[in-house]
Amino acid sequence: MTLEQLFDDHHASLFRFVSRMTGDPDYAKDIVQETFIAIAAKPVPADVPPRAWLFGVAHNLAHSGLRTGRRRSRLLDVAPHRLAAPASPAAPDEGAERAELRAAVRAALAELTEKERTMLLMREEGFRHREIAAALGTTTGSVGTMLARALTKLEDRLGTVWAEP
Amino acid sequence: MTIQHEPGATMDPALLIRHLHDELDAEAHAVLEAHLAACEECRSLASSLATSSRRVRAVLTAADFAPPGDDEWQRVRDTVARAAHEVRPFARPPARCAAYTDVVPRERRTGRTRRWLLQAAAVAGVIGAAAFALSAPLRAWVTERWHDVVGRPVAMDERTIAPVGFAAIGFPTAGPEVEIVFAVAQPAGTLRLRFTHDAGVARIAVSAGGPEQFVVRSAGVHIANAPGGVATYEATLPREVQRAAIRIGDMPVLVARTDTPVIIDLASGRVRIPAPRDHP
Repeated sequence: MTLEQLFDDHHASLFRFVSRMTGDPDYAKDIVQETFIAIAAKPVPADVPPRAWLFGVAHNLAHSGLRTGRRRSRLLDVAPHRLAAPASPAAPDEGAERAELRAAVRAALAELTEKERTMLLMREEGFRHREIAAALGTTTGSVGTMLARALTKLEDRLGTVWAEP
Repeated sequence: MTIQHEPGATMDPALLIRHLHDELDAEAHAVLEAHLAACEECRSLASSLATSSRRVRAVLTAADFAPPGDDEWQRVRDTVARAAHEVRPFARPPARCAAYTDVVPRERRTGRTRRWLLQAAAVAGVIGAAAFALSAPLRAWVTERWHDVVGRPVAMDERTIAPVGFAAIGFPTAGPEVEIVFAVAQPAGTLRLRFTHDAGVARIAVSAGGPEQFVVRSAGVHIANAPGGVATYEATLPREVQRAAIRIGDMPVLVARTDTPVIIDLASGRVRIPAPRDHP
């Protein structure tokens, strides 16, 4: 599969994954670009599913950026004007509601460990457990355990917003 | 596979998650289904996990950011494609002869190759330096090429007005041949060079082959003037041309990138680039 095909097939999913992980759509777009450039420099090994490898690289890039702290302030304080505009005209208070929801979701995701969060978000992108295990260097049994733990934590943390979406 | 747990306790949620995500093999799936049918506590836990899973998905979707527009993605795609083009030629060294790699240890191969290359480079350097020092024509040629690259400070003839940033003009001498040498950035494709001879006899010269009057060579295009003829040629250099040199006889007269017409008058020995106001 060529790099262009990989990009066309997966950039949208990769953006959603990274923006959920970081809470910053601009940063997510940069990470998507850096991920594909990294793949161009070091192609996907033959024995690894390309999509899983792609998400693993994106995860590493996003977290290495977070660890340096350069983006931390942006991630902790996403400015309201940078929140995505609703797709259609809506009530004036929808932006505020959505911002509240995002803040709640981000706070809940922040309660998870890095692995739990990554596994949960990869699963939401349709990955099988063995693909997640391959991308993150763990076992399929561990993936099931961490996903169950993540769901339980989110259930506790997001109990107040379940009814809203 | 058997499932057992203490009364009042439930099974491992990880197992239920694998069941919910359809990650169990057929046998384990069947055993678990049978257990769930008989165990109220486990059924309740499974239902709770399934509900949580649906809710999490719904909340994440509701909180999603709008993705960048198509134009932005196209820019990202172009950036990635450019980066890929730049890095891929260096990603992998060329393959070696299998027999050679089988027989000669890697250290010896690289050591020999490096020594051979250093010696060859040293010999070539000495020969080049000696030739440069001893040969006036070579020095002149190198100087000309250098000027081709960086441009040259010339006094502009009043009839050779170059649009700023497009071209620079030297002073030609009359001669029987005009040679246009061009450099093109893209490695593949066809370069089309339009020549107009006198009053609108247009010809197209391409990078391979050409009509008899415009001799296309690997290094450029030769225009062989008819014996005793006096003609004015107009060459239009396309934008793809990054560097062009025009010679009349031995004299280089033009270096630059241009998409403006270049008027070559063999009768007067002048090469002219029209002023901007003359452009169509």
